[in-house]
Amino acid sequence: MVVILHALAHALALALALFTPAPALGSDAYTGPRAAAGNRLVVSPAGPYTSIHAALANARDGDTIEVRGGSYRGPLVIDKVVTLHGVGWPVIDNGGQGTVVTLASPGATLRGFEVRGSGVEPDQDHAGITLTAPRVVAEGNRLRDVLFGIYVANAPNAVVRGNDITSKPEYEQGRKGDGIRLWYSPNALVEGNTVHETRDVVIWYSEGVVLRQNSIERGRYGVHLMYCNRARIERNRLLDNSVGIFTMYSDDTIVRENLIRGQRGPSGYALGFKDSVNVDVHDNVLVDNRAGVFLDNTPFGQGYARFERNALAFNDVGVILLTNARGNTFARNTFWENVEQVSIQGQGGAAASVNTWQGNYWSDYTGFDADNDGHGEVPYHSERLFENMTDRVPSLRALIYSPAAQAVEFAAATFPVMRPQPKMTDAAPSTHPMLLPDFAAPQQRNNAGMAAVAAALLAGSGLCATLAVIGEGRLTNRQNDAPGRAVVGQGVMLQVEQLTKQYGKTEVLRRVSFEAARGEALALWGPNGAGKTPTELSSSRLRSMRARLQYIRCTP
Amino acid sequence: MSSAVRKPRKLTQWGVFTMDLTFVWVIAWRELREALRHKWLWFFATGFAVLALALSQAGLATAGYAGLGGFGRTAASLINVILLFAPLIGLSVGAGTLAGDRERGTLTYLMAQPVSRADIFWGKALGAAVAVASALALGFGLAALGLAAARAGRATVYLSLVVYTFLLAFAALAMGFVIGTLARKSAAAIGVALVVWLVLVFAGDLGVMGVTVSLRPSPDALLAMLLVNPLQVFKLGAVYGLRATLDTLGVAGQYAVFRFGAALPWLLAGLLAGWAILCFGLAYALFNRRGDL
Amino acid sequence: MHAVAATLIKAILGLVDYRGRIQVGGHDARRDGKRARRNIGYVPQEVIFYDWSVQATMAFYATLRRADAGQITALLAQMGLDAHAHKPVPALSGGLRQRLALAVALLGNPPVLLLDEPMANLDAQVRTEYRTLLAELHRQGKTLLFATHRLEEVEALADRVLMLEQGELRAVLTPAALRATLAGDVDMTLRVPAAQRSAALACLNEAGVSAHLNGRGTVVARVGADRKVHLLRTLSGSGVEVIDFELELARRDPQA
Repeated sequence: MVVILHALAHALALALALFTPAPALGSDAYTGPRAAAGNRLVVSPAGPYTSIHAALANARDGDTIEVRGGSYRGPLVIDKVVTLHGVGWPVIDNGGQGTVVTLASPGATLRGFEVRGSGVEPDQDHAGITLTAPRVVAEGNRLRDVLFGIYVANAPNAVVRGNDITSKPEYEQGRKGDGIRLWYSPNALVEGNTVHETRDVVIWYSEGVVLRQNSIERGRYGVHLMYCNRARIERNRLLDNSVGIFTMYSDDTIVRENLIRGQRGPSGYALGFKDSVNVDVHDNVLVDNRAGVFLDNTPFGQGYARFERNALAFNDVGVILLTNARGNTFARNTFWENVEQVSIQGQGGAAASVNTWQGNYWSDYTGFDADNDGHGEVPYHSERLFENMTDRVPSLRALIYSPAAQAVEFAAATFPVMRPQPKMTDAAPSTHPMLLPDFAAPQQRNNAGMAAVAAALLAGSGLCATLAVIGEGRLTNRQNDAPGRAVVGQGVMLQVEQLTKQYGKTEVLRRVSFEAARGEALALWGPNGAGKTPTELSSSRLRSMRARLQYIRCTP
Repeated sequence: MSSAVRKPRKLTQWGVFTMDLTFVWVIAWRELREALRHKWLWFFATGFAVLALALSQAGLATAGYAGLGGFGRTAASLINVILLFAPLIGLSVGAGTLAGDRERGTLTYLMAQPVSRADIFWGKALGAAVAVASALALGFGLAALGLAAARAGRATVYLSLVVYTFLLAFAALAMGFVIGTLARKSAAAIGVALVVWLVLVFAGDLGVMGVTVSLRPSPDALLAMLLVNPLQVFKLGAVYGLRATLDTLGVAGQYAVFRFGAALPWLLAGLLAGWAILCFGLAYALFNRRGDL
Repeated sequence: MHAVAATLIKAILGLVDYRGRIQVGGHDARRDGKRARRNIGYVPQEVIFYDWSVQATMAFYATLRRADAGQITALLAQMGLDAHAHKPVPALSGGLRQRLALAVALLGNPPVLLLDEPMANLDAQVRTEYRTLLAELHRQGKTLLFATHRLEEVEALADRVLMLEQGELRAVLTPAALRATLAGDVDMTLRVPAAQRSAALACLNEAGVSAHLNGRGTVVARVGADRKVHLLRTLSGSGVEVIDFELELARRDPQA
């Protein structure tokens, strides 16, 4: 049942991919699934071919090899322009040796296979599928128990689409291979893949790459881009990786409509840019990361980095700017409940940071919009003393959420002398947050758990209160086991010997000894009652005398 | 009338530690009943409930961001409210319990009955703990109701916050008991409790802040300074429970996760429980040794 | 200051540290306090009860004293509290509260009763009734140790009197011997309406009491310490209204 569902899901992904318009990257950028022009060779456990190798040996360029179920040994090197089409998830297994499938002929296609059992040597790039020729297509495959997933090396215009990739589960993250690795493969299209529990998705030395609608989860670097100009990264979902998208030395990058949530590694940036030029970042949703945006030396020299209409919500820090990141524009973004909305770090502090902030929404804005134009009349200043302190002494972050930190903020707000220089100023902040785009809309969560917790807590509290109230009745009805006969033998019932009691230096009792026999009544006649002098007439005695007088009056 | 004194059932004897569970239970019940009738316990409880509810709703207000289930300033404020309220409830209830009874004279009368000091002490401790827990449960329950209605919040995460809060409140309660055994007047006990509260909430952290800025301690030294204060222990536990990481808290937090790994939540819970046990033990020793009442 | 008798009682209950040895029913009050206290019913001068009903209060202490639940009803009847069983304790009069204290003390049938001025805060009629209750308990064989300042209580209840002075046990007396020790004259300064002054003087002289008018318009009479009430009765019997009075112990030197 699960298998069928899985297959259905992939069929759906494929169908989606088919109906997605091809990107306009030039006529040779997109090969796509083509109708088989040549013959069709069928491989299945029952024949006519029982081995893919045999079919491949007999195939000519343009043929389609259709593999219907079954399990086949790798390694498989496709050196002809053929389409391998798996039906019913045929498996190619290399038993833990080397690379499983290599697409080595320009335009060759591998589609619908489960590829597993690669070798484990990272320096030999042991992968599930390796693409080494232009325009090859790896599409709708399932990669399991492989070190690297899909390795695209020197394969311009390659297409990696709709694959489901995971690495060897027994390895810890750093030892795993990359889910997708792209190397010197300009204009490659990476689209609709699901990559989970691998190391990184690495795109290096490749111009004009398109990453679209991929889902990358629980890895290390969601996307690591280096020396890749003109990349377009759009509508991807990056969830729970260490770092979301990090680009270095890459120019003219477009990052849009991505959902990046829960990047929580030591750096934990949803989006990081280092030494990058001309960066357009818009309509992304960055939620619950350690930092939403990190800019280091970006733009690099001449150029810009523009951030528009992004939603940055619930991050520890919304935007981290190193002071070498200057000349950037942040416009119409929504800064929603980031613990620290903006942090400026590095030499020179806030004064050295020169960037433009225009019409962003700030959830901690306390100003007002008098003329109802959607913009506040008072500038938004980020001027929190404790934040400034943590920017300068990062280890102070240990104390955030403490009332003491609040006290510091309060002091700074109350006494202008202590108010820090604002980190940044948004002259006319927006007073309306942008609507969360559909692609980031949260799933309706089942709230039965919370309801149960609420019920349990309230019931517990109520039970205690009820117990306290009705306990009285229960106690009254209680039957005690002991008859309460605390009895001793005849004779002396109470014996006091040499009793001495001091309070401090005052001796209240000095060596008092006496005995009381059973049934005896002893009066203790203390000094207060002796009545030696008028001043010793105790108040209780006077009271009793007045009482007696009253008694006498009442008595006829 | 010559039979020997009947030995009570269910008698636990550890040296001076003579307890009769029936007595403990009935004294605990009485203490619970008394504590639940204190106006300020409910003042705290409702104040806490209203704040927690307001905060849980404030984060859910607009533009669809609520369901992202994030942990922003709202959650931070919730932790802040707990950091202020839970120790305050614990300390004041704890300090008032013994000192108040002593001042009213009810303690003397109770101790004149054939019960041991252990019965009385542990009964009162149990009763006060249940009272505090039920007051907090009311607040958390209402806030959870609000979250459930808004389809927000995760039950397990929320429960871990509740558990840590209970532990923190018990630790504070135990400290309150220590104060209550030492003080003669309940007004004095409450006063001292408030001072301790201020130290825990503000002074201690301001001290750590000063040390951090001036001496730049190593991560392990900073972490050690944090772990001394049960409020900070709670904070680490709560943040870890909410986010499964402590890197929000900078190097000290990262070091804590690096150093203790998966054992961290247990360690933090253990530290809070340790505070509670240590202080209850100390308070009991003081109460048991103290001769004159 | 710490009252001597109260301290003694607290020591027996194990509420204060002390040197020396105290045994109750063969159990050491310090080492085995719990069992020693099982032999003791304690009635303080004024009990602060929790504000529950009489019944609930009894039930609570019955549990602590391991008393049979059936005993509660019997004791409430014995103390005349059965009609008040469901009233909250704070609604009771002082006398009823003190009876409740006695009822609690009797839970579990302890052979010894320690009473710390149990009647000090009661008014006269209630006190008489209370004394009767205690006398009955004494007759039933309870061992009583009670602190008091009142001679009539001593005479009504005590077999022996322990006379404590400056922390020491000065003497062990019979009640009669105590009376003898305490006997002495008292000057009563009586305020009566001006019109009745001479009538009062005449009445007193007629009764053989040495009395005179003093300069401030009051009547001063010297009587034996135990005759004060008698004197007031005499005056009241002959129609003299006493508005107020003051007491002063008569000086023994003849110049007075």
